[in-house]
Amino acid sequence: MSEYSRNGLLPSTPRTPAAPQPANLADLLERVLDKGLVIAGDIRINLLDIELLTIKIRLLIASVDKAREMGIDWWEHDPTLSSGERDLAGENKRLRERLAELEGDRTTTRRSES
Amino acid sequence: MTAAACVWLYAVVPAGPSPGGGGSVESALAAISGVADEPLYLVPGPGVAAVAGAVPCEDFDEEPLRTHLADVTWLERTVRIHHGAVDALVRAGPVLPMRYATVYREESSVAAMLETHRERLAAALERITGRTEWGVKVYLAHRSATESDGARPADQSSPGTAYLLRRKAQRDDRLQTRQRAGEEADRIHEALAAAAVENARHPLQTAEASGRGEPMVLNGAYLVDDERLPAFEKAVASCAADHGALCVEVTGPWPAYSFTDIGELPEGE
Repeated sequence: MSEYSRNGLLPSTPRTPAAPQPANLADLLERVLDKGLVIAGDIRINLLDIELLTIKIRLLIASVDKAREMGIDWWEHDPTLSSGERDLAGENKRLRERLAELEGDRTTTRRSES
Repeated sequence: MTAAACVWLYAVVPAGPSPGGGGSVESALAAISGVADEPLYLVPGPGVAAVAGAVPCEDFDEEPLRTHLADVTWLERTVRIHHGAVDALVRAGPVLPMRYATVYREESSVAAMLETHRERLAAALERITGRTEWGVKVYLAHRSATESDGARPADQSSPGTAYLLRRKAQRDDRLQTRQRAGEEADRIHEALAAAAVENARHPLQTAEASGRGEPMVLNGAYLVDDERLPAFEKAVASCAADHGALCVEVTGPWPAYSFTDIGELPEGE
């Protein structure tokens, strides 16, 4: 099984990456985020949010240069994308601490009491 | 503040020694770590087991997780780790990959889930045993000569009319090319599906996502018997040969992400 090329049997254009790339990110996201066994865990996250992220991440990573050529550069103005966590992580942390304070010693990270 | 642990699930595998005779699941687990850099372990169930990692609730409970997911860098990193773990397990036998971000608060709920779904999980595992997912993406090759030539020069109309006619002919050509490509993509999908056990069509990717300028006309996934892989490859090659105007690209081997459906309802509707 490992003998078969990961990059396509028929590299039709020189664009095909020569180095064995684990997987194109779009292919990966489409499987890891959109496929796989769905059994609801205890923690529910909104998949719609993730879908939106998927689109952003696809646009962002697939080909930044190409997108720029096409005049797509909005991520440079999008605070969630432009410089990674930047201040957001810090801000989130501060907010979470403040929240914890406000809620006294009620646990915020665990819901199940029983 | 205690470091309470949540449980992130990576996959479901058969319990006990792997039938494939490859490396054991345990030794595969020893070599990988999870989304929180945690060691992975097995939650045993009846006939099936879950591959899990204990992750800190302060990062992985609902609220903090949602916050993290808004960070694309974090998302990408954990997606790759999740996939890396699943991919490493494939070498040890059949693996049902869990959808990313399946998180429990208690290990006992994982065990209960395995118990509840044991039959469907075992059946799904059996279905993918000895089989591998392959992706096939088909692109419309760069515009063909006829298309870029445009229409054959029309009769002696005025330059303006001739121009408009030429533009119209070009547009019609392009539409026709797309339509033809779509039909060819359907035929390719049918041919590949015939060489596979199961198949799925994913949404077409945009040029930005695929990283190629050519429009994508097919984004297929095929669950192929490992023993019949040569026949599948032959089918791919002959599709590529028969459809000169299209570029065919194969990806894989993939864990069977696209073939993990265990159904919501009992069999037979």
